Amino acid sequence: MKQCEQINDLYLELHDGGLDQEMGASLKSHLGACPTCRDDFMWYGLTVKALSNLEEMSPPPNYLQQLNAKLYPEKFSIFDYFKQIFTATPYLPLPIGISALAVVAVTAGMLIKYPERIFGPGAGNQVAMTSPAAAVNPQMANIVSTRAISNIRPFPVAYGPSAPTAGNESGFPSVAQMMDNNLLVKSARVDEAIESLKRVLPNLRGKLVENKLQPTGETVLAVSIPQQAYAGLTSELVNLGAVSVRPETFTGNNGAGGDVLLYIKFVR
Amino acid sequence: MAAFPETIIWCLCLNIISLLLVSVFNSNTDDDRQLVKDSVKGDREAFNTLVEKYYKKIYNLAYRFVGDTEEANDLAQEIFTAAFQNLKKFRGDAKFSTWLFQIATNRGKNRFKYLKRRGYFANRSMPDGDDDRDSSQRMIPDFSTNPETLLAGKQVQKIVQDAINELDPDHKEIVILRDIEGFSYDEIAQILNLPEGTTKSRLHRARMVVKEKLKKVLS
Repeated sequence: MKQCEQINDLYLELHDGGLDQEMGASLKSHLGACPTCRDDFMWYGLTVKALSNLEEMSPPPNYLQQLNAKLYPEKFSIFDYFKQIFTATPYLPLPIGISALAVVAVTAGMLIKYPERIFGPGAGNQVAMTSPAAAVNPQMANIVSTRAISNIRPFPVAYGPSAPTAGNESGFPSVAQMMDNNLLVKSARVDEAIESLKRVLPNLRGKLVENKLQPTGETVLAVSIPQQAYAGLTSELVNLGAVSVRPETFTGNNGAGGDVLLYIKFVR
Repeated sequence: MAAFPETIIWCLCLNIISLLLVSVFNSNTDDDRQLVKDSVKGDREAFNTLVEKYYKKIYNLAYRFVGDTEEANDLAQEIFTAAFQNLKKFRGDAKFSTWLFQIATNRGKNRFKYLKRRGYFANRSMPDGDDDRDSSQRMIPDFSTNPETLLAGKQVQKIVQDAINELDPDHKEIVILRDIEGFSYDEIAQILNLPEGTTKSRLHRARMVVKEKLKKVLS
């Protein structure tokens, strides 16, 4: 029985043919005489055969594609996206793709041609220059104009507080209109517009009285200038392409010592 | 004295020839080395060639570890992804195939342990009870036929796979590498980093366990 257990441990070597001749002969002799060990060794051989005969499993047909997708995930490309739109299947049929492109083109055209209609008059950086009359009532300074500079032309007339009223027949807007519609000037950047204004003020003996950032994000400047310099300021600003003001808007003495306060609002 | 320079020249020639032969031999021992180098440089085609060369064997190994096609698919992809990501770490000390099967065996073992912990095999393997043994016997059409034919049968294949699933991971990996994938003891020793004696004794024990299962069900 002990010999059977020892032989049991040598099955692997016997099966693989790794035993020396003497040991091999001894084992074979035992197997010939012992039916239990013979049967057991037969099952050992069958087991090894069963293991090596196991069917080779085949991967699914799309295995390599799946693996490639995992190894090299495709990056999103706008070009591919459009390519897919114009592929008849499976994303969008071709007519829908073309219609989508037409809608995109028309929308882009509208945006370029009429930006203020799409985004409203507050779009972009704008400088709103309130009229001196608005300075009488500080609330007026907070009024944002609905007019954009693209719709305003500088008025080629004499400026100044004592200038006569031009009247509507000259094509100028009335005082009421001006008060309701504070003039707007577009500028690329608010800080650039303020810097331009500061450069102009010393020549006019004007000064920046207050620079206030409103909670709404607007910047309001209060500029003190001599009454007679008003026309100069406006003409300077007009020359800078910044503003145009009608003479009637300057009525009365709203500042101290013959100066006027001009409120300029910068709207983002 | 005149023969002396001639002898040196002959020796040099023999040295050069032997060096050439060694270099040719070395290049033949691992055809994959150049492909690995190219893959590391970002050559997709090179890595695809390696994948195409080994994916069937890797998939089969994965299947034998987990015993299910879906899981095997997932595991085989995980193995190649890990190989792809760690390709720079392949130093070339061993053959690429050895390195790849090292990754495969480690991942397979880990996945097997994970699934076993979650009771994945509990509902899938063949129960051991006597009543179930009768039902297993009923599945086998004719036991008196030639053993080789019997072993090729689907039912026996399932019994063998169930027996493999019940092996502990250390025994399982050796049975898969030696008896199913057909690696030599030397290669297994490299893949598993085990001495040959340990490999053989584990293999023997694993075979004995599978043998007992087969004997119980088929006899």
